[in-house]
Amino acid sequence: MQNDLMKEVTELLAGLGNSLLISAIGIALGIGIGLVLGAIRYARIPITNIAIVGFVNAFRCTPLLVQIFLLFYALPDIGIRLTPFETSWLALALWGGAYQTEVFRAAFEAVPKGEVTAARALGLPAFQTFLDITLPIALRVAITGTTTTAITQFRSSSFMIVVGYQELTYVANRIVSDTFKVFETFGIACLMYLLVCSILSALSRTFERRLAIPGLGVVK
Amino acid sequence: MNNWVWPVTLYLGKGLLVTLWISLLTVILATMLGLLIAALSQSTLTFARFVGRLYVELFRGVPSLMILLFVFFALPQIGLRTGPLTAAIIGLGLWGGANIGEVFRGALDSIPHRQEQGARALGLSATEALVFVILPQAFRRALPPYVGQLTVLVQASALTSVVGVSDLLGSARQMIERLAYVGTGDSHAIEIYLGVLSIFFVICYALTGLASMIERRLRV
Repeated sequence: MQNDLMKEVTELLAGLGNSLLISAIGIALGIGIGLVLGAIRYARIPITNIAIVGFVNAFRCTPLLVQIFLLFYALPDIGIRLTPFETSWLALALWGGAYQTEVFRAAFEAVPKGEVTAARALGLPAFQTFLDITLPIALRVAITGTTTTAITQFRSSSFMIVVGYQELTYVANRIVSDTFKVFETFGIACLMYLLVCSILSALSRTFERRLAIPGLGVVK
Repeated sequence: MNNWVWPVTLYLGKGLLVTLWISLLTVILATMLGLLIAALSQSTLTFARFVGRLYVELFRGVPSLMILLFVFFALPQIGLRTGPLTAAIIGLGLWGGANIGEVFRGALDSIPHRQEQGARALGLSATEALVFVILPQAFRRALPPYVGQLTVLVQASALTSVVGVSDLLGSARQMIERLAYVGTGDSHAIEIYLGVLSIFFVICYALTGLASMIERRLRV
């Protein structure tokens, strides 16, 4: 009895490890995509702007699950074969990237205009103003939104059950199908998700406090 | 030539009806739960506030799919034999209730305390102050994010296909499998999944537009 539970917890932990792996890749790429596209949106470059708005809307207004199906089951028809692992992190990255783009765009726009004007008046070139003034402030503003998206990405890693990637929900589902221990298995899996989510939001709050610039009013 | 298009469209149409039906029932369930949670958050009893908070934290920290699977497997174990459709709606409703509850609570909390004090000073009873002063303002604040949550629930309805409901995504999968076995063996997965994506996009994009329109109209 006791051994059964230990074995299950070990399997669930392995699943959690896989969930964390695809989430970490997806979150990192998502932040990268969001930062670059958000900056381009902020710079208001005409044609790229339309393309980025299209990308953001396409991914935000359709269910992630359908996107996963398209990536995994439809792309082979045109010769692109992705493994479950590749599909998992790619889907999370693209979907999260669309959300992060909006987060970073809003963060860039939230930088007080006076800061930029002052830097330009002091003779800093436009690009250096962006790197030294706008970016450091915007990154601090973006922490909350970025973390919210990252946590959602982590939770959505459970959708990868449909491509057969052995993440936490997949493992839990398999154990339940085998043993019918619904409450213990899903209960433990839910606790694992909750734990990771609370660690992530605690980290975000710590970052926000540590990085706050006194008097800049970015952090309440 | 394209003799597969019409039957598939008809079948997907049926799936779309199921998706809309699931979304409607989920929204009703989640809204009722959300109202209850918001009411709990305003209670003077510490225990009631704690219960509301705990519910929100638990259900928002766990993936929607996990809750759906949990309900799907747990209901039969406690002696309730429901179909996958009912289980899916209950699961999504429980999850959506936490999100919508947060929206309502946020709107209520955003109304400054002096509004209530002012109303009471003018001689309104606590109930009158709530009904005539607080709720009308909170309603305006809550409506745009509430409509935003509706798009989240419509998108989440696609998860029901994981437990075997023939919603839009589920019927698309069935059609693709069937097409792969009959005729030329071409599954037309790309066309069908892109079609499913477009339908979701139209619904959610329209809802997003509605949300920002309401936001503009209701601005005080």
